[in-house]
Amino acid sequence: MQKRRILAAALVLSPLVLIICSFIEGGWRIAATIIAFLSMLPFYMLFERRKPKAREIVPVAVMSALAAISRMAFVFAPQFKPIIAIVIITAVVFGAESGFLCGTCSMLVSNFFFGHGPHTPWQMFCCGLIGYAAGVLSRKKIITGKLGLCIFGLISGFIFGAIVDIWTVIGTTPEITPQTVAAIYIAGLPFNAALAAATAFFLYVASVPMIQKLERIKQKFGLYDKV
Amino acid sequence: MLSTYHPVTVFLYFVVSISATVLFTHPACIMLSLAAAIGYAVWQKGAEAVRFGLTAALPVIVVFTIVNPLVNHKGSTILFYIKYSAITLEAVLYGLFSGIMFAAVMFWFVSFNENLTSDKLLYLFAKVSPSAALIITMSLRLIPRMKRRVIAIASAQKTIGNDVFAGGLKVRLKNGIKILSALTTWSLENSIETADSMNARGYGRRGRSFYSPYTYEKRDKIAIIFLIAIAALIFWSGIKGNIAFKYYPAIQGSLMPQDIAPELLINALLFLMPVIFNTMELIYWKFSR
Repeated sequence: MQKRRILAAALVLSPLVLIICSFIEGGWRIAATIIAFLSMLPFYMLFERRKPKAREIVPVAVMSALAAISRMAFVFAPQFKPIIAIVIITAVVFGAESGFLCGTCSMLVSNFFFGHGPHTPWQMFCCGLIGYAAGVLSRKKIITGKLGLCIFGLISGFIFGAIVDIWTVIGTTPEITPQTVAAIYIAGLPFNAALAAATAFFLYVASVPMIQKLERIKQKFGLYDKV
Repeated sequence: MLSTYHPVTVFLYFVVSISATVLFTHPACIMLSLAAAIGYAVWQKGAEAVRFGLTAALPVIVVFTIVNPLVNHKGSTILFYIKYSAITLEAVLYGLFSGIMFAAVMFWFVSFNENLTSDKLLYLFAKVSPSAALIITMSLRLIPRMKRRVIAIASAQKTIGNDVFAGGLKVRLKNGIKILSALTTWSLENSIETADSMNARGYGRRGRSFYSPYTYEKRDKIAIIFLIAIAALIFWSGIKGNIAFKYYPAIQGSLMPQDIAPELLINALLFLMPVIFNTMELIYWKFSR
């Protein structure tokens, strides 16, 4: 099967890159960034294989723009941003794949305004993963209702912080020891807590009306019929 | 100018340059990269780059230099003690040069953002995933439109008494969500129209052609071959370890020019590539008349 072949290729490539870079003293910084890119590849390829229709693509673009704008609107409040909440709502309504795309695209788009850095692929991958997980878990009825979404939002806020902080550890720590890693995670805790709280808060306030609204539009125009 | 090259060339240049920056811990290499990165940032952004350096890059260097010796007590040359924990010279130096390395990467990204504008980055992204690149293009276009819509909705809501800038926090939040809700409906309903219009124009059909404003010229080919050769040399010198520099437990590595000259020369060639190519083009221009 084609899908499996792509996944296998990505899985083989990642360690290969790691091995090459491990021969050089600063190589792990490069290896980590390449892996962040590689890990997004299978998702995009699966999406591309399916030959997505215009009616699937355009709503995701709208939701990505909305998520990016929401990040810009709260520019005054560091880390207290609704972007992940909007990605989760999109994923719940439009499915896991759209959630992944919305997450990665909204991060990339908003970074055109905030400025790109080595953290961009990490943020993209992480936000995409949260969207994917939200889509899968809500279809499997593991997260249901407002409370479930809020709890998921709280956890995902922390997970986002933890994964993006991997970059902080790799990119900024002179030497990775348990102490320095702990120091970075403790220093990042208030920011990650703010992000988690913001995600849960915005899901609490906006998830029910937003999901209703999106479901209505989905029904009205017959989007994602066969799903 | 680097920005007039094909996006692939420009992207590859930054990938190799930033990789070369983070690959080596040798102070000379790091300083060389920082100098080049600052040079390009100032060349392209002028005073703004200087301001960026003072407000963003300099604090990073200072924080690294202070924090590393506080959490890291390795190293053999003890400077002094703070509450029974040794502050070592090696840890201070490691912090300083890691800070400079990080600052250099930050400066490289200043020119990266300047050279690889959103359209070029999207052109590259479309090679990986055309649909995702389309989504990103559309959302980039939607952002200014949505901003205008927010203003329109907010002023309409204000006339019926739902002002986001008046009243208690709870009322304002409620009014804010009303705006978000209206914006979502408006944009999504519009998006369906866009999608149908795309279908009507043959989106996803076979035989569509694409417009691209970028041409892959002979000079791009030369530049890419040059970059790949330089990258190979850099990785090779990294594996060979001639330029390895150890900070712990004691500083170990040569600062002698004769030991590090070949490696530094390779890095300098890489960092000066835009200047070299620019000069060559100028000379060519002058003699071709």
